[in-house]
Amino acid sequence: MAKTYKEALAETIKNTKEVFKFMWNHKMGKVGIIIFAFLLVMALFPQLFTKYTPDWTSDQIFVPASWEHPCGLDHQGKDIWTQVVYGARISLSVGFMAALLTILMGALVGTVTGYYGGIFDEFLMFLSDSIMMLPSLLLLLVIASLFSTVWNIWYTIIVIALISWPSTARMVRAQTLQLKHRLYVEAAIALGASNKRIIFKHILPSIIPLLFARAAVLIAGFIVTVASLTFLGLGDPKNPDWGYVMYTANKNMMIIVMKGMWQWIVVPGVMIALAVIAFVCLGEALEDYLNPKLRER
Amino acid sequence: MHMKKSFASYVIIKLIHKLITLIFVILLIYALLRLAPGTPFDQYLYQGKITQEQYERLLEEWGYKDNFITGAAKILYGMFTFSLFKMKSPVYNKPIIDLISIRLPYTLSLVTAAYFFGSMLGILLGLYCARNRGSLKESTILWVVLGIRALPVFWLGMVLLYFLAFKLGLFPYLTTSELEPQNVFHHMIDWLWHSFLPIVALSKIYAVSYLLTIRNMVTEEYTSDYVTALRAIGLREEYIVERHVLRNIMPPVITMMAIDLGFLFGGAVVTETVFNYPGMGTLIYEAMWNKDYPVVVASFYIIAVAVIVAITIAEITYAYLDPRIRRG
Repeated sequence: MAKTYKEALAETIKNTKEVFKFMWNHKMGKVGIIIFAFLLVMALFPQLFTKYTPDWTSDQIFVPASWEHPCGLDHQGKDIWTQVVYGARISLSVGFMAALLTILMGALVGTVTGYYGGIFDEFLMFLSDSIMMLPSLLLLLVIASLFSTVWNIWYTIIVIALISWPSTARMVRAQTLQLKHRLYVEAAIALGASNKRIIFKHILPSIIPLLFARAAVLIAGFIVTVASLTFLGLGDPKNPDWGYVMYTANKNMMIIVMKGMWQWIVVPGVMIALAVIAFVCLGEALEDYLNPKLRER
Repeated sequence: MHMKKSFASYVIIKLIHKLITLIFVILLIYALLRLAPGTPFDQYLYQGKITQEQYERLLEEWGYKDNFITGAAKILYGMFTFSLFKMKSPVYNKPIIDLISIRLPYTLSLVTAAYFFGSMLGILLGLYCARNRGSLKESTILWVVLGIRALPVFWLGMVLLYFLAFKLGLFPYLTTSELEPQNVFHHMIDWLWHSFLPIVALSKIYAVSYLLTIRNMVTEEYTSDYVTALRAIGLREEYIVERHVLRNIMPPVITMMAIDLGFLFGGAVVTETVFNYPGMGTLIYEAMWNKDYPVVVASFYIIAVAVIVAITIAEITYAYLDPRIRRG
């Protein structure tokens, strides 16, 4: 009973509408959607929020906030608010890509080890145990500082994924082990379905919704992780994110105190907090959607 | 009799597994260090303070030219005989033990204070939320927590430093005391006053995570069928909480607390950097920039051992409290 492309698309749209409706009626979901929409507009159309470009420099430096420059000018004479607005794009996309890569790795490792088991499973679970044994931020910090001469934003994304896949893999593996013994999967095995077919047709479709909820939580965490890394001076100055603005603020703390430029410190942090709140809310709402037992509370 | 034997073998298998993991982790760190470009002597060479010949000799002398197997063997030997800590740091030209013994007490006092303050606050508020579930009080607390959870620790540190230390002058902005301590009590108060802001910034992580976990676990118990049944037979609410709910959530909470205790160092690095706190975090951070292999490896050795000991204690306690685990 093969579905045509059109039918599948129509069904996806219907499902998406249903999820959106549920989220909009969910308190946290609504907050998440509103903040996320705001940040998305900022990332896509930064020109709407500031009349300067990130490369614009004044001949004055360390100028306190005014109507012209809501957060003041930094140590290079750049407009800080513009840096924050254009940073949204980088912070959000890095968080998003790192989460995507983590989910892909976790799902791959989790389904394969859960489904096939054996020595492969033992080895990968040992590897994930070992990685989980080290504080992830510290490990990321070590790798970033050791390779600081060649570091750029793509390394950040890849290394975050390499460090973070174990928890997702464990979750997917546990789910796969459960699903493997469900009657409908056993029936498919009895009917002689190939392993590939069982994984893609019967096991993955039940796990994918869970991965969406997980991705939202991961993005929230990764935005802070990336900001912490750049805050410690291990970012990519060519792609300044919110953490980078705070890195320069921390470097010039004494001047900030003397001139009372508190906006330089506060505003980028508020943006990070807003992004985290948005993704945590979206994740909670999705989880409630997927787990009806929780909805009653 | 049979029970005892299986419990012992469970512990032994766990310990062997952990030992292999420890060796693997240290080798991984060492491999990363070897792959990274640069040595601590590069800057002297660039500044012209040493000749190429002297540079080569320094590399030879400090083991930067060993092949991977020899270097790894030295590290592993050092790990098991603890001579790792007697190795000298090429940057400070001091034995590692001297560096770590100054820094470790700072970090240990900071993280334990933050951990206990944060987790106790989180557990109490989490229980309060679960008892008042569905009320306005609970939802207010949860929304506030959502906001606090989203604040990055380093940002919280900077804001506290700017407003409370620099602007209002309530706390010192130097985290080490410049006074000579007169007695133990004076020393304690002085330390607390100087470390208060980093403790607040760091304890936020624990407060939030414990509050949410405890609240979710207790709420799950409250809505489960057995509690409904206990209520139906007319038992008092306090009795149900003390005898059944708390007892059921005890094993996972103890596990979580033990595991967190091991991970304390990780969170400390960022906080220490913001406050210029002279702990292990800043030591590791500087050592990484300087490619100071022995210090990085020794620090990670301490961290990995702390995590492994904590996780092992957690697993054994869990298995002891919940017999289903060791059978499965």
